Amino acid sequence: MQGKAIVITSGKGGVGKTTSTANIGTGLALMGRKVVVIDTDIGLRNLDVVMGLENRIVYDLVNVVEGTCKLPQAMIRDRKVEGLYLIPAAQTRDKSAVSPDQMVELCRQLREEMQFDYILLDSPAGIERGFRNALAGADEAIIITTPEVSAIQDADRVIGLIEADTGLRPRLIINRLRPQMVEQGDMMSVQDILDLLSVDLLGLVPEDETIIISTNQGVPIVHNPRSITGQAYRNIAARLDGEDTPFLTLNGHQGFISRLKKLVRLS
Amino acid sequence: MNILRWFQRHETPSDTAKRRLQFVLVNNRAGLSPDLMEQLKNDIIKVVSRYLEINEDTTRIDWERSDDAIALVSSIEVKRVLRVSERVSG
Repeated sequence: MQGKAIVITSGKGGVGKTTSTANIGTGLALMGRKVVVIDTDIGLRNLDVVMGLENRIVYDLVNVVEGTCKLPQAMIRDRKVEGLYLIPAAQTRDKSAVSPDQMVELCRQLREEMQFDYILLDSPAGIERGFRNALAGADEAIIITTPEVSAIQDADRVIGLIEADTGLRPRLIINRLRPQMVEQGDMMSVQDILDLLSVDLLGLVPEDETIIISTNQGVPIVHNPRSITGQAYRNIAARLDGEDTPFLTLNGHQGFISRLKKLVRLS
Repeated sequence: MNILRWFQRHETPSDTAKRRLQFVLVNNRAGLSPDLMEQLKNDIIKVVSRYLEINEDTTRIDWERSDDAIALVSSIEVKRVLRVSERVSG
C-alpha cells in the first residue's frame, strides 16, 4: 500500500488541530504503522511540545526544504512509540520560507523513498499561505471543529476551499462535544452539525479537561488506556486505517434539573 | 398545561445556533463563486426556455438578503409563451 499524506486543518484557531494531530499520529503508530507528523505552522511551532519532543529539535522543516540538512536529520524519533517521527516547524522564519511545490516534493519523498504509511500535516489556522502549503501535498483532508457557531462557519469555508482547489472530500472530527449540554438543548448535536456541513464524520471527541494535563506533560492522551478521549482518538486512527469502528456513544449523566427540563420539553 | 406549552415554544440555544448557522452558511456559500452563479443562471435559462421564449441578455439572477432569510431572485424577460407543440421535453 502506498503511503498517504493527510492534512489536518480547521480554519478557526484553537479548536484542537495540534492535539488531534499528535493523538492521531501516535494512535496510528501504536497500531504498528510508520508515521511522520509535520508541523507546518512556521513561526509558531507547537506540535513539538504537545508531543514532548521540544528538547530534541536540531533541524526543522525550513532546513529540509532549503537543503541545509538531510531529511532524516530533521526527523525526530518519538520517545515512546516505535515508528513515529516529528518534523518540527521553524520558529524564527515565516510562512513564505516554504512553497506549496516544496511541500508536494517533501510528501513525495516521505511516501516513496522513506516508505511512510502516514504523513500527517498539522496546518496553521487561517486560509493563507501556511494552510495552502499544508494542503498542497495532501491526499486526504481532515477538518476539526467544535460544536460552536464560529468554528462551524470557518470549517464550512475551509471545506469549500479544499473541495474547489483539490477535489478532495474532507472528513470531519467534532471536538469538545459535551453530551450533557446536547441533551439539554444547549449545544448542537452531531447530526445538526453534519446536516449543516454535509460532510462525512470521521470521529467524535468529548470535552475532557485531562487533555490539559496530557499537553502539560507532553504525553498524548491516546497513550492512556483508561481515557475515553484516548479511546476516541484510537477509534479515529483505526477508521483512518480502514477499520470499520463504531462511533462512541456519549451520554451525559443527567442532573435532576436537566432531566426535569427534558421531561417537560418532550411532553 | 400552559407552562408545558411555554417550554415547547421556547427555542433552545442549540436551535438558535442551528438557525443562525443555516443563514450564515447559505450567505457565505452564495458569495463564493461567480462561475457557479453563471452556471446556475444558464441552467435556469435552459429549463425556463422549454416553456417560454425569453430574452437571455436581460436575464439576471441574484441573492437578496433580509434579516433572517436569503432568497435567490431571478428576473426574466418573457418574449412569448411557447405552444404545447413547441415545448422541448427533456
